[in-house]
Amino acid sequence: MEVVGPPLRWVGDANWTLAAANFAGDASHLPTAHGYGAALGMDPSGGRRQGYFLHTAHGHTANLGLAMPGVLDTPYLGLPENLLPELEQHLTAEQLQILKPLISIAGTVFPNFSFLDISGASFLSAAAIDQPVSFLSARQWQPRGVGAVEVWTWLFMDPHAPEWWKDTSRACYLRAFGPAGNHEQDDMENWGEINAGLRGATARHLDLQFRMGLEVTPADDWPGPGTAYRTFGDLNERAFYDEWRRRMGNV
Amino acid sequence: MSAYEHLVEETPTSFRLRTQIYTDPRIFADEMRRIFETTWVYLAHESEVQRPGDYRTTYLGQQPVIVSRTADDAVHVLFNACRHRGNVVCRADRGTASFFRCSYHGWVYGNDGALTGAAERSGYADDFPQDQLGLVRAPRVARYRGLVFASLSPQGEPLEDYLGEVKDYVDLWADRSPTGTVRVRRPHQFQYPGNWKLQAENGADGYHGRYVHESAFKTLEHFQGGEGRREKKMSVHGVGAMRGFPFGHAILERPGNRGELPPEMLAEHEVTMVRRYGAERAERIGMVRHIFVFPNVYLMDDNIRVIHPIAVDRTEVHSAFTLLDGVPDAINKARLKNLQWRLGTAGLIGTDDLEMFAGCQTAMQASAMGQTVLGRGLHREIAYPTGERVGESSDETPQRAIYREWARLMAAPDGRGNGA
Repeated sequence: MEVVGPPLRWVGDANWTLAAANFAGDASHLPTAHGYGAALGMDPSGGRRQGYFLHTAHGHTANLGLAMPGVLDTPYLGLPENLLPELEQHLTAEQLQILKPLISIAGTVFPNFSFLDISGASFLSAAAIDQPVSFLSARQWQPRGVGAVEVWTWLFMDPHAPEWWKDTSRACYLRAFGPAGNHEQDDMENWGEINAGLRGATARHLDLQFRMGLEVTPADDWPGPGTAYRTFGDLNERAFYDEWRRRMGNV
Repeated sequence: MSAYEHLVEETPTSFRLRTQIYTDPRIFADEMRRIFETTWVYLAHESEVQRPGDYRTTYLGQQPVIVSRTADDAVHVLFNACRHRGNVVCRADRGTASFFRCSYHGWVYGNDGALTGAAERSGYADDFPQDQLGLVRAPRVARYRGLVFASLSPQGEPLEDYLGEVKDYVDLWADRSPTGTVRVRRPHQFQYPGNWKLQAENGADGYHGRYVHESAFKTLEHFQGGEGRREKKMSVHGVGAMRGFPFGHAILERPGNRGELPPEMLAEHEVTMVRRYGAERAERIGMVRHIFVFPNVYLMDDNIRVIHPIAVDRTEVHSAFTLLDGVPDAINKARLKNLQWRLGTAGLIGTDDLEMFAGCQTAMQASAMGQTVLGRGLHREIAYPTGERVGESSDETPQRAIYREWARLMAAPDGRGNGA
């Protein structure tokens, strides 16, 4: 893997946990917060994914998007074809089984390191792309006070990917993410308003809601590590904040 | 005993404030709790939500709220925070809408605050307590003469008791219209790099005019001659009274009228007012008067000025022109023009004060300074059994009323200074 350029860095007016928990697996904000991108055709699924939510010990989380035949069907995370033989050579059968139907991965390594890999959602017009392209990025949420977070993001490339693939991957990433990315701005705006609004007496007595999918049971067909669920819900955010609570004790 | 007891120091002959009340962020944070979460706080004028469906957003202290009017004509004060993840659900300054939809996960609330829907509702179990997840309502909301107040304290004096004697002055203010009703439009808005209390003190400060606004007065005199001297006479040589009341309310009062109207228009207006209210009351109504209702609003002759604390050293002010109902348009036009040149965002008078606020805020960083002095006229102040105190035209009676109440509320560590 190569890192593309220096990291993008900026400061947002939000608490770091809002960002880390969102990447851990915010189940339901895509169609609303990023609805405009979907309306433009950036994401043919309209933000509605199917896949696994999983978390491991210590509050680490990931959510995996699975191919949706006929809507989003870009296996192996949209990696270029010339890399596939290499994948098959290096990965175990279980790893390949997990990877093959994947179109996206997002997650957080507790507490503040998140990763994101998206294919299918093109972020460029369909005319610009006639073959699957994805991008792989990592980010760190550096706390800068209770209401400020400095974001560092990196974009990674496989050095053996074709040049056209690298160019398109970078363009897709920059259009949607980074300080001027249209998806990134959606999130920063919401998080900032949460931080600004939750001051004072009313908020001190307010419980927020993380109850989506409280009743679901783990998937029994998950070949990988951790506990996985096939249903959307606030499962990963609960895992993130459970770990936060475990470490913070009573606050 | 309170940690803040020494900040306001009053003796029979002196009145002093420790300068950290303007500069210490911890004191600011406590003000937000002990003052803005306990008292009645002015939010909006009814005319800003005139028709069913109208809403406007504002702040109660630092907390975002929506003031809305529903089809049943009720006025609601709703905490502008989604019950899901706490995002603001309404971002517009004002408008008309039957519902508010959160921009994060698409939860939807009626303009009465009820949660009417959640995106991807199927992700929740059957016992999802939708009926308990409406926007949080302010514990108490009350209106007086078109002014909408809310209190975050479930207990305490009713609004009319809180206003006390100042209620009669609010009546005089609203009765500037022969129908007794006024309407407001979008406010002038500006910020200054200083503490919110600087504006609270200044609106009823009868002492500073001669000095701070001297250049403005000279400009007026230069271009308008004798007519231009009116503003100076009113501000500087005025007789009149400075009043302070329980709960920190305060009034600056000057005899005669502000002079917004040309003489012939004024004469005609006075006939209307005398016919409506009688000569004596019409004269009282027409006096120059700045009414401060603690902690955040001035009712002035032609405008409502609302003080929004943002940080210990930053304040936003909204000044909304009051259109009088029941008078010819020409009168409101003349009043608006006058207000704009005096107190508009780039006005001749109001901007002078902002420069003083910035200067005070900068200088009060000097820790060696210690105290400010607000004792002017204390020796000649008349105290009435009702709690009202009256001083002469340039006395600091209003400022002392504000800080006596400030000290009383700040001394209650759990924010119960208002009997809550």
